[in-house]
Amino acid sequence: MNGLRPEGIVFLAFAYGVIISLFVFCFVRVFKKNRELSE
Amino acid sequence: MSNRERWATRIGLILAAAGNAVGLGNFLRFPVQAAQNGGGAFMIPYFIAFLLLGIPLMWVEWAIGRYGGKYGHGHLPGMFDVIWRNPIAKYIGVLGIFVSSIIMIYYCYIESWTLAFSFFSITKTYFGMTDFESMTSFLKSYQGTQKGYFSSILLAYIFLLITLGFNFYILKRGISKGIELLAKIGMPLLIILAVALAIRVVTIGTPDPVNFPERNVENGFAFIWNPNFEALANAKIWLAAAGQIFFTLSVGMGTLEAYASYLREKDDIALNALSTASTNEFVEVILGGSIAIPVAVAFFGIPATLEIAKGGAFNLGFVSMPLIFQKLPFGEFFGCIWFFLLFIAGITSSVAMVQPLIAFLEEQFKISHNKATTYVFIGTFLSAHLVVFFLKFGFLDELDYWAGTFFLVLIGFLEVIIFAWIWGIDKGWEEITRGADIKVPVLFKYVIKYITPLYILIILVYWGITDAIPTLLMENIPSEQLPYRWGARAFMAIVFALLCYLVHKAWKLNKPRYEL
Repeated sequence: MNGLRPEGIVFLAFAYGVIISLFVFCFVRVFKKNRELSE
Repeated sequence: MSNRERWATRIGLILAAAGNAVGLGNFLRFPVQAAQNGGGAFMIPYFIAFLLLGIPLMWVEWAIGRYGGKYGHGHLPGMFDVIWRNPIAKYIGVLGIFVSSIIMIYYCYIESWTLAFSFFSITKTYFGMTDFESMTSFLKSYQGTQKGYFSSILLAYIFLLITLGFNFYILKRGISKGIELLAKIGMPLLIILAVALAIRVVTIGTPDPVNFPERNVENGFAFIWNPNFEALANAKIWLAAAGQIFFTLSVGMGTLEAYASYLREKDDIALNALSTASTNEFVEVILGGSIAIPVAVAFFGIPATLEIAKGGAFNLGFVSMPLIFQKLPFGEFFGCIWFFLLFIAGITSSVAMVQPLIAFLEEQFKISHNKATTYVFIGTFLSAHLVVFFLKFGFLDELDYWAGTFFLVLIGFLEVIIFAWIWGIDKGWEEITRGADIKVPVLFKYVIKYITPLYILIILVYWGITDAIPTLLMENIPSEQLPYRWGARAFMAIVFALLCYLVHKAWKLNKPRYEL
């Protein structure tokens, strides 16, 4: 095997991108709602 | 309405639910599944299953749990009884206590191995076992299935007692002071340790550039991520991806419902469930996918890693990884981190597994939390002996196949049918969206009603066609294991019958009256 192929990089970037976006979206919303409630 | 204990903070609840989902499978099962099932192409069915199976089931379970909690139920028999006013509903719900309790019986033993190996790493106990054969022998002698480094099973038994004791202590403290506190400390610690290990793995590069230039971390990532599109034509890949989503999110166990039952009526569940799922995916795909397989390829090469993957998750975690730690500078330190993070992943899941049964005893028989926890742990401790002493005869494997695999899918199917078709998708949808802090796309209403049950049904039918008969008849099982495996089935049948009897007695003693 000669390292990550371009399509492998696409899959990796896609998976990481989707998961990190979802993770950040969720926790930003959670903390935002928490702050709203505490105010 | 009932006056029940509540989660102290929202972030505590999300971390506890994520801790329930994040388990050994995130670090061991996922990379093996991805590597064996088409590499990067596996992520296509994986994400589709996450979207059509995982997220809808998370919302269904959180909704059932919060609704049941409103009527004082932290267990599936009570929850099903509330949403489906049929005498049989509570007995179907028994599966939700049964499965988690059976899994706990063997999971706590595996969890204790991680604690033991963390100790063996820092004390360099296994250092010197430098090939697969001697390391396998070390593991087997620890488990008592083979003579070798350890002369008896005593040490394994002591670590089991410590693990059970720790679980017992956490659960005795209750929801907010026990489970929530553990999650608030354990989950960030787990992520920090996993990130530290992932960074160490990524920076390994090529350990032996002169003799084995192809053995490097980049090829490890390539092994997982380079797609084999031909694999997508194979139905088994799609089923493997669906199975992985099922198990990684801990749906179909009755534990998420138990956790959600401690929410208030108008608390959000849509965002909480999605946050839980996203945390689990972050740990599984990004952290879990960056440790064990890439480092195995860097040290052993791809053909050997394929063999390791075929040998299963335990082979990867308890044999290959210790061999690698021996080759790393400060390997004892990284080994300790690796096994301790597995231990944290394990304990945040195991405390969730016994919660439904504790809640059932507390709520239906009106016994104190301390007493209920004590009874459950005495039962778990005694039952665990069967796993400890009959390990080499496949007792654990038999429990895991049925309780840890088949019944999860079956419960998932039953609960989505009860939720969307018997209770009604309109009521169900109202429950999911009540108090929601995000706008849930209405498309999911139809996904939950049609696609999710159909998806699970296809999995069950496929199992029925390809695996049911040989599995039921134990066609490929060595003959010396047969009595023990039948014993495991008899044991499960007895536990299930006992739980049905307890449900029957509980409803007779204290028939719930619902204000609907």
